Amino acid sequence: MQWGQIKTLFILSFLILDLFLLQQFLTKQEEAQVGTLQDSMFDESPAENNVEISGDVPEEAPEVSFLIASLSDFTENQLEAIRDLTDQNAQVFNENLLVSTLAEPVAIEDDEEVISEVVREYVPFISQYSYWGWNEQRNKILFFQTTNTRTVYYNSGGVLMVDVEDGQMTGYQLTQLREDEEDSGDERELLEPVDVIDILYEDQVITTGDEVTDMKIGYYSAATFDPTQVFAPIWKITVNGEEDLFVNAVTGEGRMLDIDEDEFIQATSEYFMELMSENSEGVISNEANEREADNDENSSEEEEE
Amino acid sequence: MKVETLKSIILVILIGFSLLLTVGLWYYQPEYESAEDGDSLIDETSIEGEEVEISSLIEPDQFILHLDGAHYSFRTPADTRLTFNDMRNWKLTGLTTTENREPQFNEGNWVELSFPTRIPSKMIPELFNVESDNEVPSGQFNRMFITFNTNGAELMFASDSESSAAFSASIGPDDADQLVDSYSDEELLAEQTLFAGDEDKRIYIPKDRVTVQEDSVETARIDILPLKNELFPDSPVVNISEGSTNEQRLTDNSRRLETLANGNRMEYTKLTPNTSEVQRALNSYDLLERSVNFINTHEGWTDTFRLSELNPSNSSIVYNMYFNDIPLLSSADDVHRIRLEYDGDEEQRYVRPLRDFDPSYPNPNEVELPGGEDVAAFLVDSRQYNVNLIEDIKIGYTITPQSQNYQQVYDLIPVWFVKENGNWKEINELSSSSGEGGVAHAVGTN
Repeated sequence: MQWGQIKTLFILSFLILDLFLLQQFLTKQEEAQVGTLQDSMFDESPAENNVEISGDVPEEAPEVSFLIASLSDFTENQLEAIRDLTDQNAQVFNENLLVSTLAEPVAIEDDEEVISEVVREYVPFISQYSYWGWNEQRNKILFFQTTNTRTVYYNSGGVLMVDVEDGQMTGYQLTQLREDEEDSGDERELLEPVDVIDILYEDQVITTGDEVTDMKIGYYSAATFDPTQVFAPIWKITVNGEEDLFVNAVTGEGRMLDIDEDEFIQATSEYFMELMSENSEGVISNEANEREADNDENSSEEEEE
Repeated sequence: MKVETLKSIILVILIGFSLLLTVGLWYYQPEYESAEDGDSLIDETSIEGEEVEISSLIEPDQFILHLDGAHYSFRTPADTRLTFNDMRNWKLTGLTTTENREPQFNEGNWVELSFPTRIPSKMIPELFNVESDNEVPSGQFNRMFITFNTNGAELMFASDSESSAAFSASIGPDDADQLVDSYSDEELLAEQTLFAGDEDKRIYIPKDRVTVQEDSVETARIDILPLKNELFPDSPVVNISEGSTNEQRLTDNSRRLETLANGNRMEYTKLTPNTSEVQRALNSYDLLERSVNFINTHEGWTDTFRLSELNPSNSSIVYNMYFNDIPLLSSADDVHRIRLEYDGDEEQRYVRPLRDFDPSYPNPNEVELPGGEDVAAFLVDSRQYNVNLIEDIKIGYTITPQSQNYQQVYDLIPVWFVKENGNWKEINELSSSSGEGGVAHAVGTN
């Protein structure tokens, strides 16, 4: 019958259509797979057989977002804590820079434990800062602020700088950063530790026989004196247990950062001096406060009289 | 009947399968492309200027015809440009380094071109057609001498730098005739005088009073957002606006972009120095090429710019704005030039105007400026200027807002400029608002 013939025709044409669609579907699927395959292709690492890598170095990079933080004013609670400081003349300039001189210099040794212990006694909210090192050249001990469990390296906005004279701690300056909550951005994939070591090896910063003893993610911003800064995640690479190198950890950047500690201390000291001279009025001080309190009492008594 | 039922079932299955596959294909497609979408979403990075070729940024700023002992140049700067454009088609043969640093002037006529800065010799094949398989000898030039002979003409590319070699090449009779033709019409020429008789500096200025076209331009603000997209890669950026809303500062962890002068100018700075020890300072050709490519990527040639300074020793390069082939040499907010500095092969500093000038606004005024002899006499007598320090003298534009007009219209006023220590200074004493009595005024101050 005619209807039977039409059906046969339909069956044939649908069969062809189905085959075509199936082929289309498979190619599409294949393309998608090829795309992901290419991403995960990797080359041989040039540093692999030449540089020793310690077991402390993480295998993989964590996903970390950029950090946006501002030089922060001290909170009321913090100011209260500063007013209660004893055995020192502590002053807060511009509500964000704490400068203190100890009444009596305290002897310290070049030992992280000892320094931390001594400093803890005199400096408020010390838990926010982690010990970095003693710069003998400039007579300063540096502590860097820690945010999100990661250290912000070499930033004038989040540093504790301890003055040292003849092996004695004489005073300190302190600033703090606070993270801007609105926009911290998405978490980024970072350069893998192996890639970072390759970069350093190819730039001949580390050579055959060196050992990478530690690698850590921290934050760094070059715009160190800006009130609000963007901090990029960076890798801190410790070579042979003594030398620290910094590499921008954002994929596509992978650039070594040239940080001069002496220069940093110099610039930061100047920056603090500037802040102090510009904001010589409205200084909050632990001693002045005591006096002020006395004055207030006196004046109120006088008024009553 | 049974066969028919079977056929029906098969048909239904096939139809169903085709529907399934179609839906599957559709469903698969958007998922695949949306993943791509996120990555390929392109932010605007063009500030809607133009892209240019390097050679188009190079023009001579002096075109001197030495005819029978007297010096001439084209009366209008446009003719200089047109003549040089014809010269770009020249076929150069036998381009080589030459020992002679001074051209051999015969009795006859010769032509001299000078350029605002030293140009790398590698540009010669891009400016002209060079018929040679050999590599271009390295060096620089800022002057071109053309001497005629029976077979056409000899070209010489020379530099005022002691260390640089000179280059010679030849052109055929057709090209030489074409150059002679271009200045055969005496009406187009104006006699020049050599400033202070100084054969080393070779500053030629028109002898008699000159009439120069005034001009007016409308301006539009250039949006900073495409530049931000171009200059900052995919990282968060903080924006700090201080005072007026037109001045803002964008910073990320290693770069800063500031808008200055009420938003009329921008300055981009890379905050982290380049540490790679492999990198070296760019040579002058690479500096030129890289800077042009960089500005091309965001179509940054918003007006007519020409190369005015190229300094490989400090890796800096400056492009100056031109209107009617006359340079704009001074502006209140320094919006007349683009400056780029390099650290290794990276842009270290980029300063550019955020104003786009549209020269179509009509202004029929003409200004008559004092002649070169009066200018020279003034400069020699003036206590303000030391003739030995003068590097160049030129007519350029200054830009001033049209006071009565509330739209952003600016007037371009031609005045005499003197270059000392690399800076152009307006000779105020010789400017005149009416275009009349400039000399009288100048004489009056003496």
